[in-house]
Amino acid sequence: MRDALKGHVDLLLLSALEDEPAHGYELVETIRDRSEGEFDLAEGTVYPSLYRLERRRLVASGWETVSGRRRRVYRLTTSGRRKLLKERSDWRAFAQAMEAVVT
Amino acid sequence: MTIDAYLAELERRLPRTARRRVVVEAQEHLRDSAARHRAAGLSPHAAETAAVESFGSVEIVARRLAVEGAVRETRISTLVALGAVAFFVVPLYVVPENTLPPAPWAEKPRDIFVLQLVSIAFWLGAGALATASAALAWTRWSRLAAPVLTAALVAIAGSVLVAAALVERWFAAASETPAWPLLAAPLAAGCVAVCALATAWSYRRADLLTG
Repeated sequence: MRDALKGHVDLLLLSALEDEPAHGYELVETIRDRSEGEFDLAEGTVYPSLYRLERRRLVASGWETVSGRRRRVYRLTTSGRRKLLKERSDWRAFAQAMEAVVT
Repeated sequence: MTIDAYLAELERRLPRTARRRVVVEAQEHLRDSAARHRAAGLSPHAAETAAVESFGSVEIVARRLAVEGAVRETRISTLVALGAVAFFVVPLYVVPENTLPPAPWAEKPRDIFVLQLVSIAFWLGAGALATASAALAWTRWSRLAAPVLTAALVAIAGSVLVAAALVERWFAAASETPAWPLLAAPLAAGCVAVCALATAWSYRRADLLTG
């Protein structure tokens, strides 16, 4: 399943950030929970993806103290939200087409 | 592997500039993950091992983080080089223009005029190349930034050499000229040195860049 996720991690991260800001571990948990355990990412590789999204200004981050611990918290930027809508729309079209072909 | 051992290995493999933030984030992540595994019934040692395994191979994580760092560092090094090339206007023009007495000739000797033009042309070429390199660093062709920066370095070095020949010729034609190159020469050498360091730095990271 990990191989199948390659190329989709950015969309998963943007989606996981849609409702509220989160730190890295929360994002992994959100993706794992929403996929009911199917999407079990190599957790450390989430960070290079987050840094890349930040470099592209799709997410922004800052240090916050949460429950007495210093956390890097990520949030969607306006560009990130636009990108998410576009990627989601593309994904739905792709999934529909795949569904029509393979079933 | 324990969390501390994993973090030490990760830190050892990361470029110095990327370590601080990454290690703090990884540490917090691994602590959360180990806590989840302990809550699921694992012993503290087994929970740490499971957290480290879930985080992924330290080689792969470090490599991917290094790639991200390389993109950022290439951008910074090309901007530093561009700044050094732009600053070269100070030793090339600002210092002589503000320290030289009026020229002792009614019409500038042709060889001095030509050397001035060539030196400025080299400098403008260096500026164009450094700008192109800085622009490339923001595109998918960032791997090309280092060779283009090398061309900029050659051009700025060429400008310095031609300017040195110009100074020598100027002194020969006007021996009473004040010693203004004593101020301009170190500034020019500094510009070339900064440009060379930035070029070397961009090459150190180029193998990590794709495209």
